[in-house]
Amino acid sequence: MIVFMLSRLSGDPLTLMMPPEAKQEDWDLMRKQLGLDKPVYIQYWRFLSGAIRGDFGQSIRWNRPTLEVFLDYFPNTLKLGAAAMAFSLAIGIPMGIISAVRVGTWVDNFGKIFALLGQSLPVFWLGIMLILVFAVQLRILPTSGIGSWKQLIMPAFTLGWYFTAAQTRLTRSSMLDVLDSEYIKMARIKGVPESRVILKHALKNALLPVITMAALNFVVLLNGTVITESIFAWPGVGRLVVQAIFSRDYPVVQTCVFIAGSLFIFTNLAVDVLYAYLDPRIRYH
Amino acid sequence: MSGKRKAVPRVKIAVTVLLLSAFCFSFMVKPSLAKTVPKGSIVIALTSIADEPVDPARSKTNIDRPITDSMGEPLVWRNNAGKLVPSLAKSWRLLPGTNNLGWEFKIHKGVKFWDGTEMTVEDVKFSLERAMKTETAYEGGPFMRTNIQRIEIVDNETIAVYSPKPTPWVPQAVSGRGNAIISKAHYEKIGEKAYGTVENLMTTGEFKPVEHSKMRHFIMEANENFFHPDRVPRVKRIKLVIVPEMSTRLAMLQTGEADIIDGATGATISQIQADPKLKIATSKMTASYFLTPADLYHPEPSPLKDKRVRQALAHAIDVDSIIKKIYFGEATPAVGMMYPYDVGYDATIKPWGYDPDKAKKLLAEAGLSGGFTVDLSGALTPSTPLCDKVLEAVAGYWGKLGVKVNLNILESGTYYAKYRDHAYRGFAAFSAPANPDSMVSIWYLAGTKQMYSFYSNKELDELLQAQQNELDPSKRAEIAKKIYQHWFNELVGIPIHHVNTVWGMGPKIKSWQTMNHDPYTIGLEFITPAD
Repeated sequence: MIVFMLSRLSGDPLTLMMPPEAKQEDWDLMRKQLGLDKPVYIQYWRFLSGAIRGDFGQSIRWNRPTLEVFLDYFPNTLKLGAAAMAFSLAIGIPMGIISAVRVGTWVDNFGKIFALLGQSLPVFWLGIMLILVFAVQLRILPTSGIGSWKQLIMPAFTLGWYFTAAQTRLTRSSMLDVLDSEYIKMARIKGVPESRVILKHALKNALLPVITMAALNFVVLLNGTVITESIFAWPGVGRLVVQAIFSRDYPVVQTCVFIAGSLFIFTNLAVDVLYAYLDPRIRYH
Repeated sequence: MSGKRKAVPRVKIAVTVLLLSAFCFSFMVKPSLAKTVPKGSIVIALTSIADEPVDPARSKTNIDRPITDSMGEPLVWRNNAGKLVPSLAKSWRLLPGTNNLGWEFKIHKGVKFWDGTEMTVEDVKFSLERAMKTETAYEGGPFMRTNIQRIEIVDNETIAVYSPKPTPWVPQAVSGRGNAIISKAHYEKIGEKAYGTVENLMTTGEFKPVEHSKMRHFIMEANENFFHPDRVPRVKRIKLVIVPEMSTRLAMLQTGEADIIDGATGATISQIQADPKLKIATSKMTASYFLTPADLYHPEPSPLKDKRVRQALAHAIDVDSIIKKIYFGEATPAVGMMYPYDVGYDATIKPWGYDPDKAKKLLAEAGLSGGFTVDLSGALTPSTPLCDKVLEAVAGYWGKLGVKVNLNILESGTYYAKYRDHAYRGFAAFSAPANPDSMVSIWYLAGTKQMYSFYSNKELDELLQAQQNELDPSKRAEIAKKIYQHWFNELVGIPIHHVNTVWGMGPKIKSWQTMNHDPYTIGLEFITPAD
């Protein structure tokens, strides 16, 4: 209901399609062809009954099933999201560990500043700066587009930057909590090498909240690709939704929001199940 | 000795005759035109191509014209100067004895579709009727249906187009991109559903589609056998890529990933010009921006109903500074919807001019020296970029006059829907496209739901109606002149500027003769690659 009503708040799609010399009968005919002549409750019923069967209707602009349109672009967004998440985990977790182990030192301060910058620098600024430095000045990466692995680097970095900072902070605080535990102190007393204490004993438990947050962040990341996709001309769902909103293509907007919402719900459920599997202490007896 | 003397004159005569014959023969043989051989490939980075239809008849908006203009050719074409000229039609005229309802179009013979088959009058009739259908949803369809009633084949090189009432607009109605002539036989073999893809489109266009990936790129290749030798493309292969962000497009131009970019505005223009490897291409005066006094439509009293107030507000705007500071010189002060190339242009009309003292004096005469509050609404519109900055500047200038402005800038779809519903008060900004045929009646004639006018006046309405029905071009020009004079003198709107559309070009481009007064990336056949 929310998706259906919100998408109609953007306005009448015919206002963008009909030329100034169009007569009333032209408007009426077009409205009928697009199925917009029916009362809103009938349109809603059609949408709902179709959505249950996986039929989200036909795109007003592209005249194709909206699910087909969505699936054309979703793999690109998935690819970008996966690369961004991989980057954020590959940088964020080690940085968080080092920050926690060297707490109070310049390394820890660097990690904190990195986390602060990561969560305060705007994505659009970062993306444009990366293009100026690595593409225009240094000429080592392409500016934009999709196709080669080189074209994935800057958008993945830009998209993953915020989450890298978040992962760093979460890993650091989680590690600090674990490193303060009794069993870690016991391991040190027993003479276990420090590297084993950190990587084998502490990290396993510290990663629990990090992994579950990463799973949730992945969905958030997938739904937040609009700016990155626009800057880097990446043909994903983010750009598709923006284009659909501007052209008042309700069925496409509805489909994208519906699927994004469903993805979020199912991911939450999956994370709950995963957490129970990973942490025996919280399994239901 | 006498024999030798007789032989010399005979030789001389023979040589003279030969030379004379050669001289005369040279005038009989036409010199053959050097045939354009397309070469090279270029990349054009564009902000958007809307729905990216491959089939020109499926075009719903001008934004898709980089594709749809190149994919086919209509009977009548608008050239670089904005004039309607023959294309697939050799000529046209009003048919005598039809009460000015019939137009005859003579069609070229020997024009070939991409598959080598010859275009016929059946293809012409079929294509126009298809473009007119509501199911096709071509943007120009309503205009065609208003001005065309039926199409008949007269003989194998002539068609007749009949309008429901005498109208001058039939040539315009068949000139749009959606009127591209397609192969009827091919269409009937493929069917409507399959037609209009890269693989199945069949027209006579100057470019052929090669590859299409929506929201990524569209690749086309030159049709070396295009029927008009002057319009055979100079570039062999063009790739259109969609890059929404301006700074990314500029970066692509600077790195050579793109050879032409659109949407260059403001400071971007000076950045391009500062780079010795780059240059700009301009289409002059592609839109007209003015402020409509929306209060004129509503019955409530309003200071804007006093012409002195409107004139004062016009004089308060420093248009030259706006052009210099916001557009870096790429605009011209406007006098309304009228452009210098318009039918009916009146060169005696000059912009109101920046005169803040006169503005204060006029306001005082109107009893408003203490100022007042007014709404100023506008939309972000691609046809007049940076118009939000213009409105901010206008608000500032009026503020100095004591007029407090409530500025309201909306997204264009929402804005124009409310504009047509006459929902605004105060001033509502409007960006009107170039109008070489001066078809202003479409915009201003009252009485239809989709009208854009907030002003109705008996004299103006009569002129607009007369313009719609006048078939004689010179008389229509006179009527258009009176319309423009009325619009300006009565301050039906406060004109601001005509913006130029600017593209950036890289070193692979030698030159590009853009389509004047057209803001869209079209006329791609006139791009000349560097050697």
